[in-house]
Amino acid sequence: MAGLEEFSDLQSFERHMQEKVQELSELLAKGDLSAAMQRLAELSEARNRVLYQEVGRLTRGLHEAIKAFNIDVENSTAFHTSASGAEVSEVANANERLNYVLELTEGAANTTMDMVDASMPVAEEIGEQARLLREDWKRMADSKSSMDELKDLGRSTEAFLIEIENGSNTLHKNFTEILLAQGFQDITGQLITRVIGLVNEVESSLVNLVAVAGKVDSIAGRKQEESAFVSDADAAMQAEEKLVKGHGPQLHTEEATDVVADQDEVDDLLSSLGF
Amino acid sequence: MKILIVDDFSTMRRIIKNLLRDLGFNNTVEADDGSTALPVLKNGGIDFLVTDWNMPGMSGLELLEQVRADPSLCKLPVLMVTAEAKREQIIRAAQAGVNGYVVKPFTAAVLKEKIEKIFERIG
Repeated sequence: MAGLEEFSDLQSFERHMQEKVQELSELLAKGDLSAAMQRLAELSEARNRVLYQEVGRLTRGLHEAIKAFNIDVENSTAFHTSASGAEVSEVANANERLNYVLELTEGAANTTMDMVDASMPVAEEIGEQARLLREDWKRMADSKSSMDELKDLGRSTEAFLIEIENGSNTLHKNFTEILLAQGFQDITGQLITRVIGLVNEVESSLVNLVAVAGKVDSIAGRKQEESAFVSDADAAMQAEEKLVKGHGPQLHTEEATDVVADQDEVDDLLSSLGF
Repeated sequence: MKILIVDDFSTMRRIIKNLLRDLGFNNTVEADDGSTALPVLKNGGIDFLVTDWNMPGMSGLELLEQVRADPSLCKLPVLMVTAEAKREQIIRAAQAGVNGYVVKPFTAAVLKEKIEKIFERIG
């Protein structure tokens, strides 16, 4: 029976429908009612099939997008959650990944600050010792010192140089750790890129879904209603809510006119308000 | 001089705390949003408030409004340190009675300048 083939897209369904309608009107013109009813039944069946087919196609697309998100990061040694290998929904894990990003960035920031905390006293101590030694040398140059005093100064200079060596080693070690702590950027970058990719795929699938829903509505013969209407009062309330709760960090501050680009603009705005 | 630092990110609280310590303010306490900060403020003894804007629970602006509405707290100097950068927000914060506004990311020099300016003005 004609019409059981899969429709590769909605256009082919439309063509199929046009053919059937053509046949239908020809049959009706000929007065062959039973064959005409047969065409009608085929049309209805094709309508249902194209609907299931579209939903199925979208489901597969979404599934592929979600599976694609599953790869690679699991293999990273830095990602130490249990990699069971089982096919789980990664949408459910997207939140977890973002939480992990938070955890990693927080850890790196704290490590860095720990190292800064540990390094500052070293630098200060070296500076302080240098200052004392410089004063000793100055006193030496200003006066006639004995051989013993000269030897003392030599010894304290040697001690200072040892301290610089040790301090330099400590600072080098700390700086290396600060450097390593920035490694979070690699992993978090990957995680975020993947979440962005997933979100994009979900978005385009949703757009398709909306398009198909529109098609399905027209196939089902329903008119679409405009439901996106928001009253001015509602919009104003939402804007106020956003304002009070905060919009979050602003991107592209250079281009946007309702956003300040830097502290200078904040200061200008405030001073224009009498601050 | 006791300073309350309010931010939902512990990293940012730590950064501000360290910067304040460098400026000679060693006595700081922390809260992670407006609703945990308010009881601390009401308990008294806080001389200066540094707050973020966008936080879960009570936002920094709501906290500022609560502070200004409370007779015992209404004179408290408030510095906002936030990534919120819309002009209407800065105007709103100014209207609500903020004493200073610093946008993230900021430098130690900017924070120092704003704090000094606030103390200069309130004498």
